[in-house]
Amino acid sequence: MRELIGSLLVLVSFSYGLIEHFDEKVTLAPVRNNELRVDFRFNSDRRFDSRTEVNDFLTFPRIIQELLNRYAVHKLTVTMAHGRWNLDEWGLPPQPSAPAGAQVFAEFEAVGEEDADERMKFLVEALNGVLCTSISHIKVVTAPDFVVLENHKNRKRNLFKRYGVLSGETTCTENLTRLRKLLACKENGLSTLLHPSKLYNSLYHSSHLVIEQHREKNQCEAKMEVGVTVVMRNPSQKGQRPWSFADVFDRKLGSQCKIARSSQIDIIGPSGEITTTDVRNLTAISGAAPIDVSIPIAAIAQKQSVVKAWSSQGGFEQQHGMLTVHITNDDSASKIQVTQIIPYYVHLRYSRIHWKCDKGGNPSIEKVLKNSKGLEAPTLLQYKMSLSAGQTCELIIPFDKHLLRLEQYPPDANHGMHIPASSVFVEKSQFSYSIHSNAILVLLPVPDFSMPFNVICFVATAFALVFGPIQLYSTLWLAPVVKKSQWGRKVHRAILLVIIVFCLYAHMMDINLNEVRRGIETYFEKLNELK
Amino acid sequence: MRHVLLIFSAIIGSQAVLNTGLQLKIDELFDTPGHTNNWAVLVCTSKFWFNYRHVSNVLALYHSIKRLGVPDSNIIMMLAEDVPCNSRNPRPGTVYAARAGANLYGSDVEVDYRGEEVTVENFIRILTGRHHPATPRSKRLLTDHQSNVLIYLTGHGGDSFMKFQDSEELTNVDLAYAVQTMFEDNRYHEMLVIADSCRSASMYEWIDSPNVLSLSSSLTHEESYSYDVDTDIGVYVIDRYTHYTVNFLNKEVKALNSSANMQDYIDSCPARKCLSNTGVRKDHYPKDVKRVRVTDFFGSSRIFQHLSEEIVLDDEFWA
Amino acid sequence: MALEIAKDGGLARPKILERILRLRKIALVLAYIGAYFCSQYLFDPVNMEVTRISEHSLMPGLVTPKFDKSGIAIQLYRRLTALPKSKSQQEFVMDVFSEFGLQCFTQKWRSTIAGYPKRGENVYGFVRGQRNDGAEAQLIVVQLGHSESARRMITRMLSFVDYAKDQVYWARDFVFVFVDGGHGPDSIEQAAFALDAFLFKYQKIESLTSKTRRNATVVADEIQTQTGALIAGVVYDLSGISVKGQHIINIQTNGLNGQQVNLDVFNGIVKIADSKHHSKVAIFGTLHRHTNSYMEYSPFTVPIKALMTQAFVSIEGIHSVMGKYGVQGLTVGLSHDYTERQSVQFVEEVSRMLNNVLERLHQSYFMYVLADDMHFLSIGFYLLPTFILICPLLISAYYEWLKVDSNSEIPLAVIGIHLGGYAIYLTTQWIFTNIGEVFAFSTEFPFVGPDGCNGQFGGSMDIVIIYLAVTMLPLGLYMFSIHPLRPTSIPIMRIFILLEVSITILCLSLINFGLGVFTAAIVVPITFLMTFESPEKTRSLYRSLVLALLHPITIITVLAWQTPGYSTTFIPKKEFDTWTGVPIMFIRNMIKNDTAFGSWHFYLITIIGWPVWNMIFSCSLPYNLAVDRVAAKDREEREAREAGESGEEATTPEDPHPPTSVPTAKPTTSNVSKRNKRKNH
Repeated sequence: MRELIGSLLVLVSFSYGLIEHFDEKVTLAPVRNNELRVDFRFNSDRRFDSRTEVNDFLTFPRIIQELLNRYAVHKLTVTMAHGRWNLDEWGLPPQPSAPAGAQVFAEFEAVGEEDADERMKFLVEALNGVLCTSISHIKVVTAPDFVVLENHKNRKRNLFKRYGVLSGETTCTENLTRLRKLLACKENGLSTLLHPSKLYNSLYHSSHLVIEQHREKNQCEAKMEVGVTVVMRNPSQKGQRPWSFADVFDRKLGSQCKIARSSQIDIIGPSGEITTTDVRNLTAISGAAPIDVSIPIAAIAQKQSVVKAWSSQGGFEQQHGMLTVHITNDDSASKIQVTQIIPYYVHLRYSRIHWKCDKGGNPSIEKVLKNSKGLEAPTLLQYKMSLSAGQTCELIIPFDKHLLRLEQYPPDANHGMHIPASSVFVEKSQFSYSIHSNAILVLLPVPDFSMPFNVICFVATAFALVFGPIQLYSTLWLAPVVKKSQWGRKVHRAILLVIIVFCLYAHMMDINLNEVRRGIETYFEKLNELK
Repeated sequence: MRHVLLIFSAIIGSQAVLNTGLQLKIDELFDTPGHTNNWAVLVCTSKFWFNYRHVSNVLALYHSIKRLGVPDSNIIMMLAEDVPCNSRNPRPGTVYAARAGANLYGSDVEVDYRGEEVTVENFIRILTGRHHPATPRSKRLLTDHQSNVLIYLTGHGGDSFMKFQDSEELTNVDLAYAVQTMFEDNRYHEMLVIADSCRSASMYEWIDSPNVLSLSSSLTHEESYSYDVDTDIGVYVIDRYTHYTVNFLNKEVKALNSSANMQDYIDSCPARKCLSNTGVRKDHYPKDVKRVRVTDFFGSSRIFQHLSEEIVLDDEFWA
Repeated sequence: MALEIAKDGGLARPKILERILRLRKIALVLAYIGAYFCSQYLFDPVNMEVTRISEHSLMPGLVTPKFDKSGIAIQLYRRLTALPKSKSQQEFVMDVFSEFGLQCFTQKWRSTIAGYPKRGENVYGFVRGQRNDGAEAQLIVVQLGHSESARRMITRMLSFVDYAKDQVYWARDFVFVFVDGGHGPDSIEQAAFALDAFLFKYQKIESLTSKTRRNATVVADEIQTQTGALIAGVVYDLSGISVKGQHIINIQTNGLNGQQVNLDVFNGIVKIADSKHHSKVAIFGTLHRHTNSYMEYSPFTVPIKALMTQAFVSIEGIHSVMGKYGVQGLTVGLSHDYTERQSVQFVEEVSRMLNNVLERLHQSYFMYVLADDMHFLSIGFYLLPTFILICPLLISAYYEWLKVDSNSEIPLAVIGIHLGGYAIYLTTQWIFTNIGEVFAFSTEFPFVGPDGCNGQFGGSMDIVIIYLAVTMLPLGLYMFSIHPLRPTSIPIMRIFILLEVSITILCLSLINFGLGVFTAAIVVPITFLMTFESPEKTRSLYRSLVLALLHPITIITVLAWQTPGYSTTFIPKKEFDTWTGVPIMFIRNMIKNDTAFGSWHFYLITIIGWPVWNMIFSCSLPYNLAVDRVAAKDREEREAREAGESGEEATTPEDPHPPTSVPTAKPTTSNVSKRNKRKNH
């Protein structure tokens, strides 16, 4: 059966020139004594002739191809994560590195800057629909000059880049469900292990979708990578027995993905050795006889040393604050590029932004500062510098907090607003990677949204400013001497008195005006009824 | 012999009479439905962890109507707070509607609007169909004149309004205008509006469009009550009205051909169970509620209508 | 056609002000009576509002606590009791945290104030929530110490740390701080200072270069890891008691400068204590009147104690410094007889309650007066007595304002005296910060130095004695009798004094109500009577001499002696043995709290109290001023005219707005009619 399908694929691809592959892999590695890191990678690629094979799909998801075509995307990275990556203990974070929240980086073709902004908005909405996220509020969208993420490091001239981070975005089961729907094997193979029951009870959970497309003359190549990385902890595993699939995923592997080119399970042992299980070639997997593996619990001894970055907030008042990004180099020299986005709700003091490094003072720094136009546009700060071994540098950004307009406050305005995590791209001699620090929560001065206070303020202000002069200049008048009727005045005063008394009564008895209105309506209806 | 024949013919005759009598009775029980598809808009309007029960209200109802056949593409679910993956949830990835209940947030839940996208503006856009051109298809209500629409709103409310996300309000006038717009755009065949909040009968007060049946969990001067507290999670997990609604759907409406009617549903939560009087508004609904199946709104039966006219599809259709 | 001014648009002075001025002489008595009855009505717990949870997301006591590691608490207690002398408690805590696998650091701190030389070492550790992003945190503080209750609390808190690190539902990180208060009798104050040092570094205040109003009072190690924004902090100790099986929890809510914790935190803890642990709550050392059948005391005891604590006590507990850094903090004294399990379950419930909040605590009251654990009075009501007490001053100020005309000049003495007060404040603060409590004059710059410095002449002096000597001299009496103010500037001087006092009292009441209302009760009659016009020389001399005796410090001393029941709560008994004990202790505490913690008492007394006291001499000395007599005569004439007009008014009822073109009434006939009226009645 398997061979039949495989040969069919080969036949199909040879006859048309369309080549599609699907690979899946899961890597399990204990990073600390009770903590296990699980990496899923599902790669799908497709090579086709743009004249004839545009509408033929075998394993590549059609909706991704439509996204690529409609928005002329060259490369798109979407990541979602919750939790914090422990840079001290766990080594290198999964690339592309994901800050807590949602992150979108898109490189696409467009006609001009405004067209690029418009296209980005449409692209974000389309992603919203594909992935069931709520990132349409992503306002921190900028066009970075230096490198932000490791897989977007190649510069191309005529491409527009847009990068945005939404720190408060949550990631939950529905996003995982949508990612699974993009895979060729949704119900078989390793994707059956993507069951949400345990994956969200974890220290760190991130998922990413990276899609890209190249075109040479008429041959196009499209690639998609879906990845899920989870670090989970099981406190009851204290040295008792190795992990198994049932512990980690709450189920065992009971099926194979027959159309995958490769499907494997890698387990990294304590001294770094990799044990590979090729699922495709296993003969006896079925629902009744699932396979399970045994993962040692001893942590990996050799972990890759990594540059550390974390952000902290200074000040607690409602007028000023300070953001400090701390970067500590590991034990060899590196070239780093730092990106920090500052949203519109804090105002920067540009002259006071400075770097402070130990061990030999500040290195030479190239900087880029982009102040986007527009009411709610963010500011982009980017720096490029070289750090020596073991050096710690701090980027200190003081800012002022201001009152915003009423509609710019989120519904939970007293929670505070996030300043997104900064992204650090590290270039060593042989390899490069990117890491993120953490986001900080800034408490902004918030007006009193409560009704009584607002009413008092409005009324008092109106009285103070408006009433005085208008009353004076409108009431000083000369009138002919006329015998004024006292009855008219008395009736007028009586009516005013009745209204005031009624209002006081209504207020004391907590009468709702809507009820009064309804009462009057029913009364009139009763009057109009024919007996 | 003659007696036997007589008795035999009497039996057969009476059988025939009885059979056709039963058949006629069943056919007479329900009006012929005029819709061909079902849509649902389920909205949880309140934010914050302590409003766990509103999210579980919506999810419980969501699962019930999915069980009765409404597909995800026809359901628009709006959840204002991320409860299952909230860092306060002691059981991450799960939502429970009862202490010993089942997890309502498995791997088949599709949430269309969540978090800060649940706003009054988006709700009205969904109903009226006036979206930003970039809005993806899964976030649109693509109903037509043959759709039965279920609108379910739950959250905190008051007299004449429903509180969205603790900062905005949906007034009953807004809702009535949106429904009227739907009527004028032929976007529904029949509609069922359910409001589950305090004083929710005021929400349907201004609705003036035909073919709308409105229900609420409490009258205008009453509060609605929650049902159960889960001391393990530390929150109230479901409201009374929705609890009894979902109970009713699970017990009485087991399949699409169930013969439960809307009056049974309205009676499913009397004051002694719900602790508040449920409100009904039938004056814009032409059919008798005793003759309308519950699954007309809560389920999705594929009803075929035979066309007897010729339709020509031109090239533009195929392009 | 004849025209008249139908309405004058309010150009004329409103008549109501004139009528108010008539009450000027009895305003003081009326104000006191009004304030007394008003406060008696308002502060009776029966009339107060009932406490309620305003922030719905708190949901206190709804979750079942699951702590079950009492065994670990007992084990740790044994280890801590058997700790060898060579090992400090800080090292013990560090060891335990590393056994748990959590981050833990020590922070050495040292005060830079010469008069308050303290040093210590705090230990702090973090429990990071698993699934949150670390942007927020909650603070838990325990004081280190060798007493049994301190050791028990430390070990119970460590067992809570063990339990908390395994839970998956923390939306905020935990910051556990074990503060080092030393072993002296003032350990709580030192522990508060230690917490101040910690929070100073945690909130990274120093690096905000825009706000360096004062240099750092403490030098401490920086915090070396990610810190989330703190929403609330709770200090736990075992100072509660149990009486016949009824556990009583001792809660302290008062902070520095009259700041108080958000009422929701207090209400939540009361609810948890009541519903889950069946314990009562005592505030300010007193229990709810209705539950305590052992003692009968007046319902006003707790409000008065609350106001006195708010007014005079700067550091009630370790939590008092948290308000300075924007953290809502209070101290919970768990009952000493709670089992390990019960006390840690209490901590767990409070932590879960604070965990539930999404936004900062903003829904409930920040300014209130607690009468017992169920009743409170909010700011909307309790300001009323202060307003009533201020009224005589404002009426007098208005009256003086009417006397001001183009001849009046602004006295420069105002600026001079305030500058003098400010100079005294700065000098005292500088000496205390840089030299210490004991100093000596020297011939070298800066002319003061520590005892034993170069060029010292004269013996060593205590700064408190010098301060008292300098400020208690009635400088104003001397200055204003030799150079009295010009009579034309006396009204303006009076206005300055009256307005300064009333504005100060109002501003104080807004923030620190206790201090505001007590100041009002004492200062208002003094100011009012001393700035009143005086027709004779003997009267003004007499009252100036009385004023010379009424220095703020003297008043405080006398009051402390008169109310032993209340003042012994914050003044130790031994100070009452000598005459000078109380004032010296007062001033010493005030200076120390000002420099070390930032309390305002010393600032207020030196920059406002002392200058105003001296300024009043300028108004109490002069007598029989021409400007007063002229003004009094003007008033009488105006009143007579008004009486005439009102007499006119009474005869023409149809015309409530008398047209001014009509000639004014003849005074003689109307006065006669008025006199006749008076005779008839």
